[in-house]
Amino acid sequence: MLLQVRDLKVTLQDQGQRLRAVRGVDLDLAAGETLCVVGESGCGKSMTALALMQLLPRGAELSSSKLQFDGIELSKLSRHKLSALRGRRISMIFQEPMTALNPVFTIGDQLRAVYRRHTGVSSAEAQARAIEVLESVGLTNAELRMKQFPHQLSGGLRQRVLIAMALMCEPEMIICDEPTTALDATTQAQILRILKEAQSARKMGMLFITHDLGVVARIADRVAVMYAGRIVEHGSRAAVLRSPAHPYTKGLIASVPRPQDGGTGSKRLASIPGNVPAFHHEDPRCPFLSRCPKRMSICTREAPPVRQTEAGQQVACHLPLDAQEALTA
Amino acid sequence: MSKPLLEARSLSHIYQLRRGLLGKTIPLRALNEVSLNIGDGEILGVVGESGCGKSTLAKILLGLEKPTEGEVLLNGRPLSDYPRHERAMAVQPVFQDPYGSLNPSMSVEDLIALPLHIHKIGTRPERRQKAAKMADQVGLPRRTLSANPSQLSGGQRQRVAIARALVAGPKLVICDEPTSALDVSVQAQILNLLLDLRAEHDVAMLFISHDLSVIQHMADRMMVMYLGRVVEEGGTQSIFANPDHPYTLVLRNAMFTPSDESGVPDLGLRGNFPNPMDIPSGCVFHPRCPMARPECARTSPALERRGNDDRRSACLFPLTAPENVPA
Ligand SMILES: Nc1ncnc2c1ncn2[C@@H]1O[C@H](COP(=O)(O)OP(=O)(O)O)[C@@H](O)[C@H]1O
Ligand SMILES: Nc1ncnc2c1ncn2[C@@H]1O[C@H](COP(=O)(O)OP(=O)(O)O)[C@@H](O)[C@H]1O
Ligand code: SF4
Ligand SMILES: [Mg+2]
Ligand SMILES: [Mg+2]
Repeated sequence: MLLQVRDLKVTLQDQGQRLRAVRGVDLDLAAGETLCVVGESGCGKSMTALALMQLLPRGAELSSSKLQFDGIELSKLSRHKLSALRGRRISMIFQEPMTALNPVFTIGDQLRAVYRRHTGVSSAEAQARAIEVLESVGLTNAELRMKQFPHQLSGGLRQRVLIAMALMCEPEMIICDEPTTALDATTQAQILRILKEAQSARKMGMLFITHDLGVVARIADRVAVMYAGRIVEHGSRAAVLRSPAHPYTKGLIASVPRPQDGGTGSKRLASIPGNVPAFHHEDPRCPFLSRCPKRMSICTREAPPVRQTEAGQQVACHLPLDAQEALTA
Repeated sequence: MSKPLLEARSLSHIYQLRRGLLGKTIPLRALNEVSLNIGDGEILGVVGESGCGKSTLAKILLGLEKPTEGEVLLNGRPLSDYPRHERAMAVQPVFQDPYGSLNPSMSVEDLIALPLHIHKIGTRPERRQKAAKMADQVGLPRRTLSANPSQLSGGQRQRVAIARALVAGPKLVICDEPTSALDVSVQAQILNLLLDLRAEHDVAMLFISHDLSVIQHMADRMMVMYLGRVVEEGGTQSIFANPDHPYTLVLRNAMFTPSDESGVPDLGLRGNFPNPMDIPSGCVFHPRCPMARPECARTSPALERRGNDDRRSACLFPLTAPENVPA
């Protein structure tokens, strides 16, 4: 296993209160595999990603029983060893490329610097590598682009530069936090193709965070559905999307407008009433409790056990929907 | 056909961008000869990539921006002839960002009642009653009436914006990306609400979104825009079943839904993102079009009717023309 995470918890300081943003997450990622973590805003996806990279905001507390990359316990690494790993063996791509690019340096400066820091090669070699990678992510006029500053590029081009930067050192694992959320659908499709191609060429493990189930359907091998700091369901793409077992997953899928609805606007969408709650205290019960249409009295008393379904996914629910019921969504 | 509620005739809009110290201006053509009709109670969808002119069109139809060319008729009368209040009674906006468009220092009740107050409709108690009724209709709990916007969730703020838009009984609501900032489960609530309100009040909508699946769900008819122009328009079902314009096909192929696990398609798009300060010759889509032929760089295709439905498209080699359909 490339990545193994057990019982990951992140607690943040929020106006004097302790906010439990990630509440015991388990993840596994193998080489060459794409794991999508999907969930709505505020459910803890970005904090999970930042915890893996040991890049949490100031004041955040992190705990885990295991946080291993290729057998190396990340939480025990020195700062120095961590920064040797980041950008070289593990890369990350964020939603907003401007936060990851330095506005006062050219694209070329930044690409060359990343490569030279990790490999110690000459500037000329770094230049050649940068052009090669920029071209591989579909950038035309790579040499000219290298002389430009980040603000001179469109959002789609900036995101390609960020991908190029992440790929410079041929990492074994890439963590993508909503890299296409701010882009148009056509640009999103182009960027996703580039990422998938880079991944299969290098057998990279890809942890892909998104709120978009349509994207999940196109790129995921496995899916982890996150809600209020917990993974509530986890399994193969086919199992989770075609026979969702958790009421939250089912609700989420049903709330996406579908082509079968026809253009008449006559068919109502299923929706999930209410909002995602914030947790300031430990609460072992099901996080979906307050909004669940299937809630039973046991749900208000006891933590849901994790069960394995017939389709093979794992679900934390007292009464997981069986495949039959899921089909009638 | 009866008179449309709203009719826009050949709207063009140019923004003058100031460049350099000498105050030299560069024209940016945001909208080019866009015409449209909206009937009573009809939802017309508008889709296209960011920067293609959707919001500019919305602002012109709301009377917030004067078009460089063309005119807008509301009930057959030029929008520019309407007194501001009368226009605001008939056409109301719902924008993407409910955070920015709601005054943070006002209570929800006052925000919803404000249009009534401005138009001097009813007494104060009557206005309060109307605001409370509107809040019920959009699914805002009564206790939120005394709250201010910062205390509400994103979905609740969008409900306030919708209640405010509908309280004075407009005939047309211009929705500019009304759910783009919301999570999908909340988006579903808002889309349901808009469809319910349409059924109840027979209000027409111009519904703008960059998300084709939302347009497909909401719109009776739709328009596809590219670089300030309409490249295809017609019945939503018919366009989805058989896109006529290559750009519409690209957009449809880029639409991802949870039930389609077919991998990431190659859209066949060439070239770079379009630039409204440097509009291509011939067909505006030709530098990126997967089907372009040499003629496309020279001849500008007109928006023309095809077949016998009300579909129109602007392409020299439309996909549904018999000679272009693969045997
Ligand atoms: N720097 C921060 N300080 C305090 N709370 C934060 C900070 N960043 C995020 N949060 C909160 O942590 C929770 C999880 O956030 P995040 O991981 O960013 O969610 P997601 O990426 O799934 O949208 C949310 O409730 C969010 O408001
Ligand atoms: N007030 C303005 N001044 C100058 N240019 C503008 C202004 N508003 C919009 N534009 C430009 O006009 C074009 C169309 O913008 P807009 O109508 O906002 O598109 P959309 O809503 O489809 O994203 C874009 O290139 C945009 O940069
Ligand atoms: S006119 Fe030519 S370039 Fe334009 S859309 Fe049709 S085939 Fe493509
Ligand atoms: Mg996030
Ligand atoms: Mg806009």
